[in-house]
Amino acid sequence: MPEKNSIFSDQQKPSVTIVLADDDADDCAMMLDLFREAKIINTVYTVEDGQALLDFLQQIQSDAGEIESPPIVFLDLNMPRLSGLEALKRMKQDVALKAIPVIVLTTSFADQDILDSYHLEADAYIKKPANREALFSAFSAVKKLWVDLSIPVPNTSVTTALPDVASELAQTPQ
Amino acid sequence: MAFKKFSVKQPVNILLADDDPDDQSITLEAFRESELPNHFYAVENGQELLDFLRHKGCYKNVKKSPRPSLLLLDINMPKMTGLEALQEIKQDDQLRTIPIIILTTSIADEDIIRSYNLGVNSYIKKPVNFEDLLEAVIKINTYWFDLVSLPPGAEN
Repeated sequence: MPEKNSIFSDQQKPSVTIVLADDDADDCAMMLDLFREAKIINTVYTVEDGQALLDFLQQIQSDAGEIESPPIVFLDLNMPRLSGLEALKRMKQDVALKAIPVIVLTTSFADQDILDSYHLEADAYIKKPANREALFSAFSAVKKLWVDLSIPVPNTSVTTALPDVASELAQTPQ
Repeated sequence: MAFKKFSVKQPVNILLADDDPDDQSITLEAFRESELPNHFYAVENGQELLDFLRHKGCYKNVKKSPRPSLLLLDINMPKMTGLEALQEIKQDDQLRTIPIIILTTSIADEDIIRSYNLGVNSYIKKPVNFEDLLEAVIKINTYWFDLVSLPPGAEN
């Protein structure tokens, strides 16, 4: 079971559940700190590799009561066991997981990684800033878009109950 | 209200697909006021959107229908809905990396789930007044053009 950190008081319901997939313990600790500073009311789960990420997402998917708010994945690319890109590919092939937003957050500046991530339907690609201050403004911008502005995907259990949109649209008479 | 200067050097291309002319003009106005250097394009339905992206029909001139850096998509449109166009775009290898934001008045769970399942980058309820729309546009611009690395080759 991944490590769980709650950043909210008893009176506040977390608005998002952040799943942080990153194998660097120092990076994770700093990001946890900054989520708190950026006032993103959340619960953060940390996982160390792509396989642990998939296992955890499948677990919360099969038990809708497991998490209290819609999940967003922050995904590092270079991780042991199963890389970030491979994990992303498998998520997007899984009907139950594909609607979960994935923000790639990595130190890689390679054009090919950026292109591959968007091809595999990452929601956004963010180069992990090297210093704390820049990372803080990154999280503030993420908060403004994802927490204040965007409507997250509703209760994930609904996702699986809905007929596949692709097959349904295909049946629509032209 | 203080405006933030964006770090974008070259103007970015914003494409809006929305059948309501009033919505088109206030969105254009909001992007102009947001001070993000941009070229703003608008189409009225899903079919026109695909023609624009594929340089077909009246969009043969590539200079007048450049690849958008960001696509804003309404759902309820005549001829071809936003979701049908979204599905087409995501199945097209050349077009699928364009970031797409749903900007619509619909907050039906079904529309939201379908949009995310089809690979939309975010789903935003269209603000009804100009002040809120401008604020939303500034948040969108800060995120997409100051923070995020867009797919390389987006300027083609």
